[in-house]
Amino acid sequence: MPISGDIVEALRLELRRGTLILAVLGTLRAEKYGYTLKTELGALGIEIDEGALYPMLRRLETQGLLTSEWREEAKRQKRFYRLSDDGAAALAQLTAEWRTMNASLGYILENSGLKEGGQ
Amino acid sequence: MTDLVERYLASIERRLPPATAKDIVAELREALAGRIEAKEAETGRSPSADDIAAVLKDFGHPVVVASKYSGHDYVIGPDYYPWFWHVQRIAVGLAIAIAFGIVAIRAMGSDEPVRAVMRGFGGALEAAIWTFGVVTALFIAAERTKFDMRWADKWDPKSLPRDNFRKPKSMFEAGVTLFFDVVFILFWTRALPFPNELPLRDDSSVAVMLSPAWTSVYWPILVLALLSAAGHVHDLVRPSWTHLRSAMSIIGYLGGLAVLGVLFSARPLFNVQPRPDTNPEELARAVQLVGDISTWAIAVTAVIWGTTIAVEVWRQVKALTSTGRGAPLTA
Repeated sequence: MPISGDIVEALRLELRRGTLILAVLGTLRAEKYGYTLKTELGALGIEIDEGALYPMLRRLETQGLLTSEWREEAKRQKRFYRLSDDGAAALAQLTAEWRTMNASLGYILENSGLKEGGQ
Repeated sequence: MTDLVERYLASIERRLPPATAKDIVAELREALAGRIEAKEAETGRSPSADDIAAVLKDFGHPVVVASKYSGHDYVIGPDYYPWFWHVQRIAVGLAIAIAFGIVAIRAMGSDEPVRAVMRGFGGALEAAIWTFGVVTALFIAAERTKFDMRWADKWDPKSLPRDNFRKPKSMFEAGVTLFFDVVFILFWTRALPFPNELPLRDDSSVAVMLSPAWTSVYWPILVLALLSAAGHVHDLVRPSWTHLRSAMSIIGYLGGLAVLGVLFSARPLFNVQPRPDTNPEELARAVQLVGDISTWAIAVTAVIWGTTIAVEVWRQVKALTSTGRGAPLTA
C-alpha cells in the first residue's frame, strides 16, 4: 500500500521543526529584522512562515539567546535581532550536536540500511 | 497602512497579553508592511484591497496568530496527557461507585426502593460527567502552571502488576460488583427493605423470612460483605492481580465457606409464613421448595467458592515461584 502524502508531509514538518531554531540562531550572528531574516532563510531553502517566526524570535529573546532593538530604516521603525553572548554559546553547543547527529545519520542512511537490506 | 491592516492588528491585539500587546503589534505591523511592499513590487502597482486581504489571509487568522504568543501550545500537553486518562479511569470509576452507594442509602425507607435504586443510574451518569469535568480542569491547570511531575519518576519496575496471573478487571465489572456489595450491605443492615413475597400456584402468596439460623452469623456476614466491598474498591483503583487482592479473596471465601458450614448445620434457613388465605397443601409445597432451594444454593455456592479458593491459592503459588513472564530478553 503506498504511503499517504499527508503522513510524509507530517513527518517532514516534524523533521524540520527542530532544525528551524538552529537556522534562525545561525543566521542572526549578523543583525537582521524579521522580514529580511525570513527572506534570507527562504532563499536558502528554509521556508518559515511569519506566524511561527515572530513568536519564536520573541521566545528566544525572552530566553536570553537574542537581543533586539527598534531602529528606523528606510523610513520605517524595524526591530533588529542579533545573537546575544548566551545565544552564541548555545549556538556553539547546538552546532556540535547537529554535526554529531548529521554524521551519525549520514552513516546510517548511506551505509547501514544498504548492508541490512543486502543491496 | 490601510484600514484593513489596522482592523486585522486590532483583532490580534485584543487576544494578546496586555503587557506585550503593543510591542508585538508594532512588530507585526512592520512585518505586514514588508509583505505588502513585496506584493507592490511583484505586481508593479499599488496594492488593492483584495491584494491586502490576500496578504492578511496568508499571514493567518487573528486567533491563530495571537495564540502563537500565548506560550501555551496544548490544553493538556504530552507531559500530562498519559496521566490524564489514567486518573480519569480511576476517578470516574470511583465516582460511579460512590454515586450508586449514595443512591442506595437514599433508597432507605423509600416505598419503592428498587425503583429508587434504578434511578441511581441517572445519578451515576451525572457524577461521572462532573468528575470528568473536574479532573479535566485540574489537568488543564497543571499544564498551565507546569505542575511538577517528577514524582512520576519514582516508580519501581518490580512493583508492576502481574497481569499474567489474572486478567485485570474492567472498571465496569468492578463498579457493578461494588454496587451489589453496597446493596447487599444495606439489605443486611435492614437499611434497604426488599420484597419477600413468594407467589404460589393458586394466586396466593407466602412471606419468606430469614430463620434464627442466621442470627449467629450476622456479624461474620457483615464483615465478609465489607471485605468484599473493600476488594472491589481495590479492583477499581488497581485492577490487576496483586498478592494483597488475592489474599483478600482467599480470606473472604474461606470465611464464606465457614459461614455456609454453620448455616448448613443450622437449617432451615428460611421461615415460610402463610397468609390467611394460603392453602395448607401449597404452604407445605412452598416450605419444601424453599428448603430444597436453600440447600442446593449452599451446595453450589460452596463448590464455586471452594474452586475460587483453589484457583487463587494456585495463583499465589505461581506468583511466588515464577521468575518472570514470556521469553527471555537475552538470547
